[in-house]
Formats: sequence, structure tokens, C-alpha cells
Amino acid sequence: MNSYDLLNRVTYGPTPAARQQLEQMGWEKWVEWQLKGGEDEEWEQRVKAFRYEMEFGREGREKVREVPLETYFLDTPGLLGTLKGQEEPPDSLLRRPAFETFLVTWLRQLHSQWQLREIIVEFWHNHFNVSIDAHDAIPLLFPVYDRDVIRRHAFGNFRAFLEATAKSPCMLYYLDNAFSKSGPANENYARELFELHTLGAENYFNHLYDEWRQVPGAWEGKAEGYIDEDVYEAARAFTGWTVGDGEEHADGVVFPETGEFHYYDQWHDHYQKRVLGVEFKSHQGPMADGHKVLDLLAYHPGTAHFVCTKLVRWLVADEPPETLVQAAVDTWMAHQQAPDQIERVVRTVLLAPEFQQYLGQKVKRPNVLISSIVRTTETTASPNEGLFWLLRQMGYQQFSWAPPTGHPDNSAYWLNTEMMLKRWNTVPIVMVADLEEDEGVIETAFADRTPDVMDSGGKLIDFWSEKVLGKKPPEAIREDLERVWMEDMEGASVAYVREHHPDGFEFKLRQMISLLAMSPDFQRR
Amino acid sequence: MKRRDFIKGCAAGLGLVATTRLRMMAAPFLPVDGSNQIFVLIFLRGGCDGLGLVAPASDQVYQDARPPALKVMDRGKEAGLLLDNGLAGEGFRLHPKARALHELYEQGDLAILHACGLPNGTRSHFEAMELIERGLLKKSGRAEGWMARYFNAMAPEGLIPAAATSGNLPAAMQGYGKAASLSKLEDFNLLDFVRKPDLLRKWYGKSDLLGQAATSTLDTIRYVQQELVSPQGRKIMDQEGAYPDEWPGEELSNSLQTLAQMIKLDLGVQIGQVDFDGWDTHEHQQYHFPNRVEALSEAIAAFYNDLHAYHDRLTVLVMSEFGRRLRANRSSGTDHGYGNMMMVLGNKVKGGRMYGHWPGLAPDQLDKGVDLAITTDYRQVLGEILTQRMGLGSVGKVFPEFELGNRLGFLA
Repeated sequence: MNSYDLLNRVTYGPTPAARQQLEQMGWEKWVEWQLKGGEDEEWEQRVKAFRYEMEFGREGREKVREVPLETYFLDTPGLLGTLKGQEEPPDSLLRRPAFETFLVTWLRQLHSQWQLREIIVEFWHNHFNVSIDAHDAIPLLFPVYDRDVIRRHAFGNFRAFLEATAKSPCMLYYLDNAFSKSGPANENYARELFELHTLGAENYFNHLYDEWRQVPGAWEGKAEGYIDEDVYEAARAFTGWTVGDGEEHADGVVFPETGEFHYYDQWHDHYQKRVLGVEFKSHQGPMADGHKVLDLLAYHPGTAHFVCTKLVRWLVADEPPETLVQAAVDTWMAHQQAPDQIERVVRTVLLAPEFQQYLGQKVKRPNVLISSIVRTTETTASPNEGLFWLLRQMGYQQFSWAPPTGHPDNSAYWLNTEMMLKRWNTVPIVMVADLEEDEGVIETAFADRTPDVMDSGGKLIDFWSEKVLGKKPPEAIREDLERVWMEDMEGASVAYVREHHPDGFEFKLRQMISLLAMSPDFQRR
Repeated sequence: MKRRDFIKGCAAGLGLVATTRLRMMAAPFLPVDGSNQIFVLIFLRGGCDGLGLVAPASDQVYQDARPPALKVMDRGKEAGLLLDNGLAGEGFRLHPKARALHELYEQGDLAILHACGLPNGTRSHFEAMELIERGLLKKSGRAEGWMARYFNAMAPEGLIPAAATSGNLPAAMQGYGKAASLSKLEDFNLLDFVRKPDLLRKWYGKSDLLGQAATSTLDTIRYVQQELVSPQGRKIMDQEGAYPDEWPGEELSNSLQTLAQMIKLDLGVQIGQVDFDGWDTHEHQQYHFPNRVEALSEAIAAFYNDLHAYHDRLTVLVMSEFGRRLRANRSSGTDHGYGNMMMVLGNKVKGGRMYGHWPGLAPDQLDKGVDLAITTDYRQVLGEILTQRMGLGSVGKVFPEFELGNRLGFLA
């Protein structure tokens, strides 16, 4: 068992301490421990102590103040309350909760011991993608989406999860269902529900069949896949699923100002429908049509295959091995009603023998590239707004990926000229400086953590490479780094430079570690 | 040691902010043939409402199907811009915010096609884009993009024959080794602090995906930086085109400007792709759509003016993955549709008229009774451009299982 390679897959970077822990526990026990989860006091202390800079006030008269993380922990009434007394709330207030979600997420990925949880949470954020830029209410309510929808259900039951997303104001705004009224309905949510959340494009048969009755299984009420007619009908089923926004609507009705899911019967299309070959009688009562669509989709074997394939791609390989997908599907289908359905599927994947055959073959996502620099070098780091932009340059638009697909999960996507260059340049930016006005991410010096016995270029390289790459560097790289070190030191010994030019030593050390992190092995996970 | 001191002490040597300190590279470069043709594809992501942009305004069915805010009017103060030489005797009009495009049409450089698209029935953005960019009609195992197949067939010699300006490489270019994406030329360099291109080149090799990406990135850095420091390059980078710089056109402008700079720097660009998103107008289309139309129109005109010396060599195509539904929904938007307009711009374009076969909007003329039908396969349009302007012999090499039909004839 290679603890570095395993952790490289299921965490945000293998810290030396975590490697030791995994080696003591063994893989199976480690997985169980992570799935069980629990408190994380050290992390909570860190969050309590965390401060970030925020601009207050109107445009042209902004004031910057250091503030703690507050809004992330509020419930919906609390979040609405932050706007009290604001006729036209400034962007900084509206967006604060989403920004805090970003910061808290980073503090978790960098420093929480429950790393597997974060990996799975990120998977679901990507699967049920919501962009905070799609509607003003989304950044305000985003902590609720992160906490009470994604995190609450990340290891839970898929059917319950699906309904939580369907009724989440963030999703209702993002995919426009909040505005969908009978005649004609807005199809956006229904289409993505089929294509991206459940059955997937692999079960979209529109190019094969023109009418519902032609789809295999449809006569028996068990259509194997869907066509546009199913989308149209499902869109009708979700009419009236909206948000209590406190606004007066065209028909003169004022919705309650709850910021939560609101069902408005007058907008619902009550008449009979047919979805996936199943007849819906007319006038089924509040929300019954929508619930039935969610049942049909959540329990469909096509959904099991589509979602499990994505999960295996996320955890195992760009080209998911079919035997492992099948094992995951079997677990998924056998526990459709279980409250821990997803946890069981994750366990099946991680403990399968295939899992360990694909380590080191995926390319790191940009966020993992950054977090693994911080974690492997055992530094502490403060996420900030600069980080958000740095990630964007590498193609990772955290919580703001516009299309509902979520980020593509394949290595080739991250490797074009633009992103490759930015991946290289990100390393020294994180390691050295200037994310935003001198506020670098990394807060601790490297020289202090380099023992004196590392008294030659070669020893320094090996010492830091053991942390960063989990091994000595490949021989060719080691030789090059040693040569660069010797040239830069102009013959001076490590001890001499440490004593007489401490700044220069720290600088060269960071340069060397940067080059290690720019090497090909560090790009993979 | 305080971190801040460390930063201060070393900042001069870091060059993290100023990345313009350039080094001449000694490597010899391939000469660029200054006569190559240039094809620029502007992809409107999200399904642009072609019936709202190029509208059969005189058709009563059209006028009856949409509320005033979501259609182009046939008369009155808000009337659209009339297009001479329309299709099927209809009075087609451009959206009133597309004034600059209308001028290009009137001066004979812009042709408009209608009822085009991917005739496979899909209304899924992601499937439609995927298939169009792979140059296919149906899902198949073929992974490379159609531009990649074109370049692999033509094997051009330039430095960067395929250029994209968004962060991500378009699927159409995937599978071609010399495709590059660059968002900003001046910044396209390794930071001083770790400027070790030779080491990276050696460490990454070029045997796998990572190695290929690394090699092509390092090559591109070298080419771009060499061109930028030449006197000619400096002059080009100092020129400022009159691109619109306000939301929502800002990103499109930046992309087109970068592409124009690459063309003027003679980096050998033969196909460039620029994406412009935000066209998925399911709700409140009356707010989202007009300002995007204006941005598109102004940015294209600025790009075309910027490249005035290249008009004989330049063909610009505007397309989207599908059109939108004829009838509006009740959230004041339009849902995913089918057939759509395309626009072609260039000196060798027989502009000032419309092309294609207008299927009509009566219920039995619509696809599935709801959407504008497709009478021209998207590959026909791309195929005519590739064979007539881009030197391609047979379209089969680029679009498997497709043969060109009768030419629409929009190119001279």
C-alpha cells in the first residue's frame, strides 16, 4: 500500500501526518473512519479565529474591515435578516454568504481531518451544479444550499437528495423553475433534471424515437430512456414549484417572504400527464406530480448507471472500469430506500480491488493542485479572494460554473496551453507572494522547518521531495535541481547561506519546492 | 523573519507582477506564409434565439406566436432592420440592436443563412454542442474534433494554426497537437521566479497527455514571446481597436482582440474560435437578449474593422448549437428549439442576401409541431467554407459519412 498515492486520490493532498495515520490504520479501517466522520475541534477553532477583509458601504465610499465568518452559519431567516433596512442592498452584502461558503469550503479542504467527506461534497456540488451568478438571491442563500442540501445528503439517500435540490431556492432560481407557470411551462429545470441530474444523455433517445410509445418499455410504464415529450410533461409537473420571495406577481398575488420553497397552486398545470410511459391522473393535489417525477427518475436503473459512472470517474478513472461501475450500481439499486444509500456506494467503490489499480493517473483539478501544495508542505494558509481568481485562470470556476453540467471531469480538459501555463505559474504565486496586495496564501516559513542536518543541495531536495512528491524525485529531475541549486549558491555551503543570508535561503528553498511542484508527478493524483 | 520583509527583500527579483521581461530565444522558426486563409468561428453558447435575431417579421404566424418584447416588429418605431433579398418572399428583419451587422449586410460583406443546424433531433445543449464540435450527426466513438481532423488532413506549417481564446480548448480542436488557447498574449509567459522552460521541457517529455500539453505550451510561449518583442510586434500590441468594453460584450471583445493580435503577429492562425455565452434565455428574454445582440454586433464590427487589411483572407462564421422555440413560455422566455440562423462575413462572401430554404412556420412546417425546422445541415455550411476558402479537397475527411449537397453559394 502506498499511502501517498491513496491519499492523493481521496484527500486534498497527502500530509505526512495523514500518511502515517493511514499506514497505521490500514486502508479499510481508514475508509470506515472517514465514512463515520465526527467532530473536528481543531478545524472549528480555526474557523472561529478566521478573519477576512470585506468592503462595506456604497460605491465610491467603501471601507475595508476585518470580519469573522458569520453569515455561513445563518439559516434562511437569518440570511434574509442581513439585508434588513437595505432598500437596495449592495453587492458586497448580497454576495457575502456565498463568499463565506467559498472560504469555509477552502478551510475544510485545506485543514479538516474529514477529507473524504469534502471529496464527496465537491462531487455533489459539481453534479448538482448551481452558479451563484445566475440570480441575485443565489449568493445570499448559498450557505443553505451547501449546508442543508449538499452536505446533509452527500452520503445519504439519493431520492431524498434529489427532492432537496428540486425544492432548493438556489436550484429553483438557477434553472428558472421559480418562474415556471402553466401554459407553456419553463422547461429548463425539467430538461436538466433528466439529462444531468438523473438519467443522463446516455438515456436520451430523442434521435431514435418520435413518440413515447416507441420507447422500449414505455407500454409497460417502464420506459428505458426519455425523449422530449417526457421533458415537456415533466416541466408541466413542476409548474408552481417556486420560491417565497415576498414579491407581488403578475396575477396580483403576494408570495410570503420566506426565502424558502413555495408551492403556488394557481401556477400549476393540473391536468393529466405521461412521463416515461407512466400515466399521471389529473388533479392529483399539491406537488404530487412533481414528487412522482422524482420517484420515477430517482429509482430508474438508468439513473443508477449514470450517477454511479460519474462517481467512479470522480474517484477512480477518467474511463471508469465497467466492472466497478456495475458493483456500484448493484449497491445503489439494492439500497434505494436506505438512508445511507450513497455512503454504501462510496464504500463499495473505495474498497473494491479495482480502486487501487488506477492511482496516479488522473490530472489534479486546479483546486487540488493548490490545496496539495499547502497540505504536502504542511503549511497553514488563508484562503482569500485572490484564490478565487487564481482558480478561474486555471479553468476552475468554484460555485460559479455557468452551465448546469458542472466542470468536466476528465484530465484532457485541464491540459490546454492556457491552463497548463497557468498551472505552472500558480505554483510560485501560491508559494511566494502577491495573491492580493501582498496577502499570500502560505503563512509559514520553509527554512524554519528544514532541519540543519540537510546541509547540501541534494539532501534539501530529497527532504522536501519526500513531502511534496511522497518520494525522492526521479533521477533526472534530481540532477537538474541539484545543478540549479549549486549554480545559484555560487559555491557557498548551505550552512553559510542559512546563517548569513536567511532571506535568500528561504527564497531559494521556495524556488526549489516550486520546481518540484511544477514537475509532472505533482500534476497527477 | 516576517513574511512581509521577505517579500519586500525579494520582490525585485521575483517579477511576479511584471511578466514582460522577455528573452530572445535562439531557436529557429518556421517561416510564416503570409497568404494563408483565416477562418474565425464565433460560437454563441446556450442556443441563440435565431427567430429573435433574424426574424421572418412579415409572417403573421410569427407575430402571433410571441409577446411584443420577445419578437422583432414588422412596423412602427421599434421595427427591426429590413433585410433585402430575404427568403421565400418573407420580409426578414434583423433585431434593431444589430445595427452594425445590418451595415455589414448592406455593404455586401455579410450573408445570412437560416433554418440551419444539427438535424438529429436533440434539444440538449451539451449533446448538440458536442456533436457539432466533433463534426458528427450521431453519437459515435470518434473523440477528435472536426477542426482537428481538418488540420490533421492539411498538416499546415504555421506556428499556431488553431487558436482559441477562452480558457478551455474547444472540443472542435481537441486531438490536434498544435492547437493553442491563449487569453492574453502579453501574459503568456512563465513567471520570472521559475522561468525554467528547458527543464520543464525535459521533465515532461511528450509521450503522454501531460507531456503533449507541456510541449505545446512551451512552444507557444516561445513563439508568442519572440513575436511580441519584435519591433513589428510592439507596434501591433500598441494599437487599440474600437472594441466595446462594457458588459456583456467585454469578454467577447477581449477574445476577438487577442485573436486579431495573433493574426496580425503572423503566428500562422488559420482557424480561430471564440465563444460568447449567455444565450440560454428561458426567462426574461427581453432583458437578457437585446444587450447581448448589441454586444455581438458591435464586437464583430470592431473586429472586422481591426482586421481591415485581411478582408480578402478572412471568413467569419457565427453559429449556435440550436435555435429556440417559436412560441414563448410563460416566464417571458423561450425554450430550447431547433433550426437557427448562421451568419458569414468576409470580402469573399456574397453578402447582402440570405441563403437557405425557408421551411415556414405553420404547424405542419415546424419540426415536431413546435420548432423551426432544419433544412440545411450545419456541415453543409462549414463544408462550403472549408472547400472553397480553406483548401480542403473532400469534406469526408472532416465530416465522416457526410457529402456536400448542392452549394448554397454564399462564397465567391
